[in-house]
Amino acid sequence: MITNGKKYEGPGGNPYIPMLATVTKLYSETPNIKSLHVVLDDKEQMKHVSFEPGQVAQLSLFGSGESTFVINSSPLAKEHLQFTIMKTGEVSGAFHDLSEGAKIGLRGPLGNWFPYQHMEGKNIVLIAGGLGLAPLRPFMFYLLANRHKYKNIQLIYGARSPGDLCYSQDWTIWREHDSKVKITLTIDRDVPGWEYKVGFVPTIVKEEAPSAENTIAVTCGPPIMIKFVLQELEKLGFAPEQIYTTLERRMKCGLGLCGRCNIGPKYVCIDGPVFSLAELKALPNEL
Amino acid sequence: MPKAIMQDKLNDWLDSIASKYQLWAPQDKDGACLLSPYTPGAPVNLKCRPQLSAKKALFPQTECLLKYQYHKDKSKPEETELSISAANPNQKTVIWGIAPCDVSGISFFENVFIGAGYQDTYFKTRRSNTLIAAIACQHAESTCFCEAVGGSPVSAPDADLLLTRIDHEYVVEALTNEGATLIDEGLFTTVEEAKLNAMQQVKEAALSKLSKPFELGSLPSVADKFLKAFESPYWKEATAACLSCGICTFVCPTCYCFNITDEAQGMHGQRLRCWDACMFSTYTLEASGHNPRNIKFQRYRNRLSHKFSYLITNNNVLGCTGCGRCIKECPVGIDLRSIISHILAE
Ligand code: SF4
Ligand code: SF4
Ligand code: FES
Repeated sequence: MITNGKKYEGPGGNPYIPMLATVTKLYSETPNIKSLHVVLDDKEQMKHVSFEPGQVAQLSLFGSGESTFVINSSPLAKEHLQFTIMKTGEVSGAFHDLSEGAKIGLRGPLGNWFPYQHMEGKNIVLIAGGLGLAPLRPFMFYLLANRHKYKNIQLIYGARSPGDLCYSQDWTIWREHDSKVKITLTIDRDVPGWEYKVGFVPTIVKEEAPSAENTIAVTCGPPIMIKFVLQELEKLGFAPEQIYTTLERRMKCGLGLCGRCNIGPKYVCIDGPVFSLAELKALPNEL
Repeated sequence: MPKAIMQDKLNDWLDSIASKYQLWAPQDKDGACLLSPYTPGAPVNLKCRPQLSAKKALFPQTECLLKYQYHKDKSKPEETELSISAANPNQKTVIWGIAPCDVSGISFFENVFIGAGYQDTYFKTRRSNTLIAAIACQHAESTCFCEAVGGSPVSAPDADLLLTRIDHEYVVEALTNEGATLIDEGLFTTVEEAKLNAMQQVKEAALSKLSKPFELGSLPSVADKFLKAFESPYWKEATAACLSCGICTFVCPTCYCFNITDEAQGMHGQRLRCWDACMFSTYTLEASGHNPRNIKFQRYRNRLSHKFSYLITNNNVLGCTGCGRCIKECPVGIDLRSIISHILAE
């Protein structure tokens, strides 16, 4: 059963065995990114679904294989779990080709999550590029549902072009939430009709210059973007303890057993995917 | 009290075990000494150390994790049903005639696969259905260094039986009650005081044969030294000749990295787990093309740091039993004893 912060037990106590589930909805976010809604076949289990923002699951397409995806629906919603998949390889391609009603397997939730309790009473800056908004989406839902516990919230979100921005139906609502929730959108190169920022995400971070004072920054996206965002944040006075990110590694078991996803003694699959920059700095440099 | 069995009765004993258990025993096959499934009457070889470790008996090179089946009802073609069933490898098994370093390898797997973290159901099922009969090792090779990593060639506390060869006879000590049930009274004789003394002498002689290439020190200090040596230029130098062939991981009793893949046959298929190796460049290759361990020295460094640092940090266990197989089998002669010595001294 899926329960908060506990280990994934798996049917019969075997964590390699997925729960059976059905894809109830499938739609395109961008030309090569699709989101899917997944419902566990066991109705009781679905009723008690619970995960934390940032946690992942392994989705199985039997015959093609398993892949890790962040659960990006709201942690407060119980109707379905949402995943967003970019077409990059064989397994992700097979997921794109599914139709509604398809049977899949799900192991999860797995991994750690954003330590939102430690962030209470603080300003939050979320910085995402492309599909990097996926792990931040459930977090944003959580923050807005617990709005009174947090101060100013800013999301800086960028993609190559307007058509590459994911979750437009969400951020159009988020920016209306209240005067202290700010959504800053950017695209790499200007196109006619675009009315927001133009420039790479790190440049916009520099321009927006969020204050490091009593603030936590969380950044997710392509590694190269993260690298430069971290540099900007450090220039703005953010300490490594004030910065969080999610890591992606090639994964298989998701259980800390197959040995694939380690960075030094830490396994991204069980000790991550969420790490503070302070934690990363203490690890061998092998990103 | 220990019992004794004559060499020429071994096959009778093994035949009787094999009638109740799946039995693994060291045998000469295809020009090599291998731990293989025993067939009644087959000659066994207790004077060799099998080329591959005993891990394969509990962690097969390829195994089925689950089977799946899609069902289609022709009257409702738009609906597909799916069922899956987990493999349950619960066959009663005896691993017979393995050296103490290979028993340590199995204990190591217990620590990692059924320790504090997620439990590996398949290994756990196999292990809980398996008895181990070890043999005090009197055939140390020049590459062996079990004592230097905390082992002993003549004791195997995690085994169920311990055999010691004295000329043409084997003294068999039961270390567990379950182990004792394997001793077939009719084939064994009681052991006199003199034989016990002889057994002691044999063990002492075996111990004196071993070399100790380095002084390890406490486990936390080893972990620390390897972590501190992460950026050392020595890794590049030491692994310049490495071919990334993965043989060292294949023969190692503690290398446990694996891959999981699906094998489809139309509407049904299975999910398989196979040995994999961190020495292969594709092991950590990401879909984006990024590879955190793209260069061979990074992979070798990870392999050794895992064994001599990360496992100590996470599981308080050393990932090396001193069997020396990686030294013996490496095609370019990379000797981890000298690498360990170097890192410890750096
Ligand atoms: S690393 Fe080499 S010596 Fe150590 S257990 Fe593995 S094969 Fe044996
Ligand atoms: S056996 Fe030797 S050459 Fe092959 S991967 Fe290991 S260290 Fe490299
Ligand atoms: S995915 Fe297997 S150890 Fe992390």
